[in-house]
Amino acid sequence: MSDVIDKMCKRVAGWLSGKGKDADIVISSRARLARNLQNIPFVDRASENQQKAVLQKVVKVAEDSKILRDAHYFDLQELQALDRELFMEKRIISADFVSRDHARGFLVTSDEETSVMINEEDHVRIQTIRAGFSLNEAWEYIYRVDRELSQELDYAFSERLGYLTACPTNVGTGVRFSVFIHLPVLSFTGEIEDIFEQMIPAGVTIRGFLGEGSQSIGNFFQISNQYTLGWTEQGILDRVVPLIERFISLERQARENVMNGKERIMIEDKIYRARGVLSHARILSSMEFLNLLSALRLGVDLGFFPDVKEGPFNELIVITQPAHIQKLQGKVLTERERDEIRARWVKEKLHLN
Amino acid sequence: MLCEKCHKREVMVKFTQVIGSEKKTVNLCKQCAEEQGLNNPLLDISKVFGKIIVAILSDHLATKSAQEIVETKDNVCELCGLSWADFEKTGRLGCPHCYDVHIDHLNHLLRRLHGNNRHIGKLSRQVDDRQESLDSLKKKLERAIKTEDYETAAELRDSIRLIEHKQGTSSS
Repeated sequence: MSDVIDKMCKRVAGWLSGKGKDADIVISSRARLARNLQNIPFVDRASENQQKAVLQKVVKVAEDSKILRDAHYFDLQELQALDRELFMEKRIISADFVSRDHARGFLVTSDEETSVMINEEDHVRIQTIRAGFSLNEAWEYIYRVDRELSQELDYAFSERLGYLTACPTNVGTGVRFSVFIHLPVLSFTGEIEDIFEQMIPAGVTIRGFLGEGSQSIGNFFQISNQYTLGWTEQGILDRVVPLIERFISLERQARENVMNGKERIMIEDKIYRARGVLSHARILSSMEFLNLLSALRLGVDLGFFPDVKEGPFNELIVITQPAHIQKLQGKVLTERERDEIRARWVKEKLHLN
Repeated sequence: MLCEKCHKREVMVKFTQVIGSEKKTVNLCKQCAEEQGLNNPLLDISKVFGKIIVAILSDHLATKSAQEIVETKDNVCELCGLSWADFEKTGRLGCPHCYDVHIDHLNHLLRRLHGNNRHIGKLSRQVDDRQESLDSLKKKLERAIKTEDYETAAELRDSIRLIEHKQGTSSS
């Protein structure tokens, strides 16, 4: 099993390609479904034997399915702590799944875009992540996975409340769509605060890091649906997608305005300073790195640095996390040692000098 | 400004979340932000959703008088043993049957969470199959009546009634 993990550690997941629709602004799109088996308590109140039985049953069905035939299964209790962290950093499993302590496991496809967690908060959690703005594609795929698995699994379902989940925030469709979106100029100008307050329709949640200048983290935001009940899956998509499109067009407009306005020198200064620090720093904390990467990425988008390729940006966000650095170096490292390696890798990957 | 969690170190991160029309901001220092996994914008912060429930519940409790709370009988789920008081602590139900046992409490909560309390999305395979067979039986019944095959029609009518009766009990 450690061979498989070593290989996965070096491989770059499909969703990090930086390709896809609107990939300069939307990093990734994710669809997730929550399901539970009929007549068995949810994970937290199930007995040890029930948890084991659920795990066995779902793994068998998933392994026998056509759609997940190339997926690899990992038993969480057999994984070492660092390997668990690695899968969490790859977004294949959740932080909550790592910190639990009972029979649980997950399957992940070879492109690392689709995974099935068994015995997280719900018996079954299916997710697909795609590069760029591709929620519809992620939904279409996950719908097929769900349809095939449901041929063999009897899910807890009520005609009035839909799919029943441990947390009432997921009941009904059990579907959560989300995107990670990079909005550096809307954050820079402060417009994002007004948009937060005025533009978000009921049923949609946005979260992220706001603050002045260097105090924010990378200007990355996560937009997702809050409502899962009382809407069709398509209806939920139709509510989330136009909002994201609006964010994309506002960010593009703000970039154009700032390039043609008096503020241009301010943003140029921020971008060139970021390049300077990334090129010469010997120690980079993860937070500092994300802020500088956000600025450099904007610089590349605005055409300041034809010599820098945007390709490795998303990959860098993932491989400069603590478990990845330690796995790739093959040893346990202190925070200071990791900060040193991070600074070196950034220069190498982006060919900065 | 000092970190909201440790009240010791300077604020480094403002984490903002908009839910419906409400905006909430948490101010944290670098260390506390890292402990919460908030230093990595790619990670999913699913626990945040659980906290919404607790917030709604505490609102709800505040609007009830002490008398009302005492008088409200707390049912316990006979399958998994979860009481509504248990749910209020964790924000998690115990089993599918809890949705029947605690439906009066849940109706209010679901409307707050989703603006709605009735599913209109995709049906489960079992329900879908049953619906499909119901539709095809109804068509057969029409045909039988048209061709005046009353014996078959009577059998079909019984089958349809049986399925509809089952649906009635499972959705109540």
